[in-house]
Amino acid sequence: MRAVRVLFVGLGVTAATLFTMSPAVAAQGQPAPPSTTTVKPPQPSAAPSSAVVTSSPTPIPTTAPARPRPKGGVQTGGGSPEGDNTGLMLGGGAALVAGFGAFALRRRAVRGSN
Amino acid sequence: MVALILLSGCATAVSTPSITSSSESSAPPPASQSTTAAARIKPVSVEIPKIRAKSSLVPVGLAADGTLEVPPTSQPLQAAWYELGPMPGEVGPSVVLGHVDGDGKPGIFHQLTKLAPGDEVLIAREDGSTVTFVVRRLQQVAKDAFPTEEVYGDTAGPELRLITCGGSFDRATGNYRDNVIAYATPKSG
Repeated sequence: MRAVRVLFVGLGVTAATLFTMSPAVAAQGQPAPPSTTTVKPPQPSAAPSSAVVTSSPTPIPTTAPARPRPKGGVQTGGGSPEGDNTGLMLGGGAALVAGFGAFALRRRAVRGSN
Repeated sequence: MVALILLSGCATAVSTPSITSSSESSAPPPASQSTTAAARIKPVSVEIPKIRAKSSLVPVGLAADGTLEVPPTSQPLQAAWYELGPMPGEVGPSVVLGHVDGDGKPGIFHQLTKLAPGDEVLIAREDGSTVTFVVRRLQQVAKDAFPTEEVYGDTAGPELRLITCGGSFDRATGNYRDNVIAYATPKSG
């Protein structure tokens, strides 16, 4: 009998709780947002965008960095064209002299035979 | 109207004392960056109208013995620029070199000794601009007395050195005994 009373009392408490809660709470299980919302104006950023552009540039060094200097002269010649042909010219000259010499000797021999 | 003004600005920007630009579409760099940016523009070709020499430019550095590297003699018509020194248009002496000959053929600077004060040298750069130099003097000097400080030493403004070989040929070493050096400064106006 006592258990039945306790059961009824519990049911009553539960029903009372359900009736006193707001519909939003019953639906979502959390407090509803307030009906009025305060919209704050956007806060200005710490540094305006133009500050990035106008920031001081990196200073340009006034003294030129040390540059490695080559040693000695520059080897910009692979042998003169005249030098490469010297041997050929000497050989040609020798052949020419030999040819004239042979011709002269032959002519001399012909004259001698006559 | 704005576009017209911008195009006019590019056109008038052509006549910076010695640097001309063929690019009209690119906006000029900010003033704070112009000095540094212009100084690091690589050269791409050299042209000397007086001796009808024209070549692309390849970068060269230092050889193991500290001397200046040169293009292979199998390519005597190939000029080069010293990439560890100032670039043409930058403050300091920029160096462009070329063979007087190679493989039995005349090189790109075969006629360099014919240059005289007042002759122009045009250096085209990778941004499309051209730096015009004017030859001031010509010097022929023995390689064992090469004027290192005079050629590579600091200068107050942009300068150019053209270097090739000259003098008599030493068959024992396979090299010429002299160097021919042309000193040039930017054309003004």
